[in-house]
Amino acid sequence: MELEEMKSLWEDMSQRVEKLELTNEKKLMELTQLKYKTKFSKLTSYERSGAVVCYLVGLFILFNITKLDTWYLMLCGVLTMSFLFILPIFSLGSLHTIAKINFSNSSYRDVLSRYEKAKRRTLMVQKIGIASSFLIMFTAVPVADKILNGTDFFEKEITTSLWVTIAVAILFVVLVSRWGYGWYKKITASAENILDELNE
Amino acid sequence: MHSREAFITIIKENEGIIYKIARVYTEDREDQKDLYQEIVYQLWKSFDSFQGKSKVSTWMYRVALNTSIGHLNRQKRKGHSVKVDNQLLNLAEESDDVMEERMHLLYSHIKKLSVVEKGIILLYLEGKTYDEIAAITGFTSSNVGTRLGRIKQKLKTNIQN
Repeated sequence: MELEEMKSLWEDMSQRVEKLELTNEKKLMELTQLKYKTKFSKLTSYERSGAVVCYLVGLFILFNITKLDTWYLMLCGVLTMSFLFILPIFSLGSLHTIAKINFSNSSYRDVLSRYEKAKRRTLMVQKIGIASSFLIMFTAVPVADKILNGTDFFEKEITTSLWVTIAVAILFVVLVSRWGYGWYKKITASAENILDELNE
Repeated sequence: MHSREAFITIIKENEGIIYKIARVYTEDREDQKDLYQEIVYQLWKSFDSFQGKSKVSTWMYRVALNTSIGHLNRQKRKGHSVKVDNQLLNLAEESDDVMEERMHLLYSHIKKLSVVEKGIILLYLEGKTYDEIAAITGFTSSNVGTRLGRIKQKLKTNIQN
C-alpha cells in the first residue's frame, strides 16, 4: 500500500462514513442533559476515596496520639500520619493538573506536552508512595498494635511466627515495589520520548 | 448561549470526524465507543466557549485530538474498567467487506506511529493544508512539513516490511 493509495482509501472511507447513521439525536440529547462522567473523572473519584480512607486513619491516629507513650512509638505515629496526610495531597494535585488542561483552546502540541509532564509528575508521586510503603510498613504496625491492643511491639518477644510474618511482609513489599518501579520506568521513558519528539 | 439543538446539528453534520479520530486512537470497538462518547461530551462542554472563533471543523479536530491524548484505553486501565451504559455510537451498520479489510490494514499502519505523528498524519489524510494542520496542532507550518516528510518515510518503511 503506497501513501497515495492510503490517501485515496481514506477519502473513500470518509465518504462511506458520512453516509452512516453513527449516532442518533435522542442519545446525543441525553448526553448533553446527563452529568456524564469521563473515565478520568472516575479515576479521580477512586483517588478521592483513597484519600478519604487515608485521612480517616490519620485522624484516628491523631485522636489516639496520647496512647503512644514512648518517644519511638510517637515517632512512628508522626511518620505514619505524615504519610497519610501528605501523599494524597500530591496525588490529587497531580490529577488536578491533568483535569485543568483546556481541550478546547489549547493546541494538540500544548495539551500533549502538559499531559505528559503531568503524567511524569503523577508517576513520581507513585514512586515516592512505593518507596514510603517500606518505611510505613515498619511504623504503622507498632502504632496500630499500641492503639488497638495496648501493647508495645518493640518489647514483644520475637517468636518464629512473628519472624515469618515480618519476612512475608518484607517479601511482599519488595515484589510490589519492584513491579511498580519497573512499570514507572517504562511509562516515564515513554513520556520522555514524546516530550523530546515535541521539541524536535 | 448556544442551544442543544444547534450542537446536535453540528455533531450530526461532522460525526465522521469523531468516528475516524476515535478509531485511530483506540484498539478495539468498545474503546472506540468510549472515546467517541468522551469526545462528544468534551465538545458539548466547550461548545459555549467556542463562539465561532474558528471554523467548526478546526474546533472539532482540536477538541477530539486533545481528548484522545488523555483517553484511558481499557488495556492501560486494567482494574479500572467501567462499563459504559447506553452507548452513543452505533457501529452495527459497518459491514466486513473488502474495503473494511483494507481500512483495517491502513489503521494498523497509522496506529504504529507515535501519538504526535498520529495526529499529524490523520489531519494530512483528511486533506488539511500545512497551515490548517499547524493551526490545530500548534506546530509551525514548516515544522509540519518536516514532520510529514519523516512520517511518510516511516510509513513507507513499515508498509514495505
